[in-house]
Amino acid sequence: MAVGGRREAGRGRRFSSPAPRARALGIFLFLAVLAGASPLGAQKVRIDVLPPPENAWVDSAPSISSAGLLADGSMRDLLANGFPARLHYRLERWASGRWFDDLKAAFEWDVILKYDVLGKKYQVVRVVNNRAESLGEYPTADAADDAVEAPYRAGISLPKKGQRGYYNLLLDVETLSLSDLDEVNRWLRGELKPAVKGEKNPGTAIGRG
Amino acid sequence: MCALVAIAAPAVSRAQNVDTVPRDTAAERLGLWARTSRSSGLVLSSGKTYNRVEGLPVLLGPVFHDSIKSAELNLSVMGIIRSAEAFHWDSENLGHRIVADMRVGRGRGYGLSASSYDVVTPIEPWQLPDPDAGLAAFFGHRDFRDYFNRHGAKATATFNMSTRSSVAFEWSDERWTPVSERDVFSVFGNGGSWRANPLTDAGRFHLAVLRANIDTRNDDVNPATGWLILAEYEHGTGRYTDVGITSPLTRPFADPDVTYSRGLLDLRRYNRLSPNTWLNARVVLGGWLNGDELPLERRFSVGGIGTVPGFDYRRYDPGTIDVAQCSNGGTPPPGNPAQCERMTLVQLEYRNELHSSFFDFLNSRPIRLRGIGFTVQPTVVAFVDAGRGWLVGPRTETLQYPSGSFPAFGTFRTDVGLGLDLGLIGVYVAKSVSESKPPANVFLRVRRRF
Repeated sequence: MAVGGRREAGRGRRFSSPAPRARALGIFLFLAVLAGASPLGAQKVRIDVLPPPENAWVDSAPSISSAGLLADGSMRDLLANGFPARLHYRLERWASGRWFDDLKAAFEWDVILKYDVLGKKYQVVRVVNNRAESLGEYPTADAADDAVEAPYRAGISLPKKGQRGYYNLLLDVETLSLSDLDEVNRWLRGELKPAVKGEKNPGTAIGRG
Repeated sequence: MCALVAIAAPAVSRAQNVDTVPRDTAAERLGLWARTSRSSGLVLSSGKTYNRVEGLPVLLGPVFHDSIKSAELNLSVMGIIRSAEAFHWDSENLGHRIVADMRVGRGRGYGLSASSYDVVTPIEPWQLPDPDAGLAAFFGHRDFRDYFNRHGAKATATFNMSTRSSVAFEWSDERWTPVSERDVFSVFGNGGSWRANPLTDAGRFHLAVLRANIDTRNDDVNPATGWLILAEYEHGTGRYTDVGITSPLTRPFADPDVTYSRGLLDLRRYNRLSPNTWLNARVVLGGWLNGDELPLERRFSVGGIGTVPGFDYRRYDPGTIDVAQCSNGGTPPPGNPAQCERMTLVQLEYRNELHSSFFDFLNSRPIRLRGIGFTVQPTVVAFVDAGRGWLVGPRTETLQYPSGSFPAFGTFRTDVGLGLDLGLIGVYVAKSVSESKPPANVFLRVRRRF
């Protein structure tokens, strides 16, 4: 159960890949629904869908980067007291249609940030397709934030040549409750067997029960 | 055993929701599996509802969760005490819900469940989600639902096609009793009289329900594309011990022994037109299919903020055939209950998301509810609604139609409206089109209209 808060935001870039002049056509921003423990106005939050190099829309997926997601004071307090933060990303690729746009592909992943109170270090884990990958341990919250928010190339399927469309990113940021801590601790101890076997998705398990 | 006390755990909040009609919100459809905490222990919870019959139901009892290989087991034994009449300890204020269920498979799989319950249930939960109904009653002294009591037991078998799509079969043995409005607190208008809760039928019923829930939406909170289909077939047999009051024509004669079949289809389609515009549609069809006339608890109505908001909920115009509640124009029974045997509702809405920077000043300090901060996601909504109910039988003016026919569209109640959905809450204004006399209605909705 999320106790600290939840932030959902999204941003997308349009692609138009009758290639040679493929480029970003526009940006739209959703500052949405459930915002986290942080006042968005207090710290500038940025989420970027970084387009692939020019002319490479059909060859390369976009990267996602962000800034300021975990900079809020109350979020930092929760982290410092051992409550993990979970960032759930969902990148969608839409194709523009004559009447309605069509959802062509979606790719989801989680990034979990936890402070080890005894070891005085921040642990960062990315969970993709039921596989957890450590992004390292960091002595400061700022360093851990950098790891969380570093550009990540999503493994979403690419548009066909000539297809017009755009990307849409949805992001949930939430801190987790005491009841979720055990599960997070098990992952961090390396007990990822259920997830590896595909029986359980640790990324969704803590947030969604 | 009493290891944990959790306040307002979502799973047990379903304790009041044993109606066979699927709930409007995704969280409510998920059932006990939706618990975000898997801890066993003692749970104290609100019923996540508020109404003029119960006030706030409070649930207390132990819950147990465990898993064996891929099977998850859940057991909850919840007692219910209601806040009506200042938590007075009497039979009307006490209830229970005991649920034991097992689910195999996290996505595709199956589940088995058995439950015993004594709960107050809304008659038409398809119209309005719990949060809207509860907040209107708590703050505004307006209750947009009617209720009855269900006391019995139920067995359910569910085949899950995915985490959000399933087919379920239920069999239940229940005793239905009418309940009346009580002394329930509200923030505004406290002490005033509530709209009467209709006197419904009483008796014992055996219900067999086949229900399909197909959800292909990309997001269950803010869907941009996909289908949500809720289909339900109910076959009921039973015996009345008392029959409720009805208008003439609605039920000319009530045989104590009753056998009926009833269907409900709630079809929603979400379409994205561009990155920040959507066109969404909803069609609801419900009604008698065969057998005897439907008990009052299984009938339908339209009108009010959940369906055709340009018309007041349960409005009564003397001398006018009421195609919303299906009374013949005479004085309706107390509470003006839903009496229609069939109903159709069509809703269409166009949504255009505004650039949120217009509202950034509202986001500088998010509204906090139970530790969760909410910010503003402004979306302009334009909508149109049309709906009506009718009786089944020999053609009688515009109130009753033979089983194989359908009322002319010109007899429907229609409205148009405009709103601003801020994400957490939406402010709307709706004006009736099919009738010029009713003034425009301004109303609030929690989250989306559908």
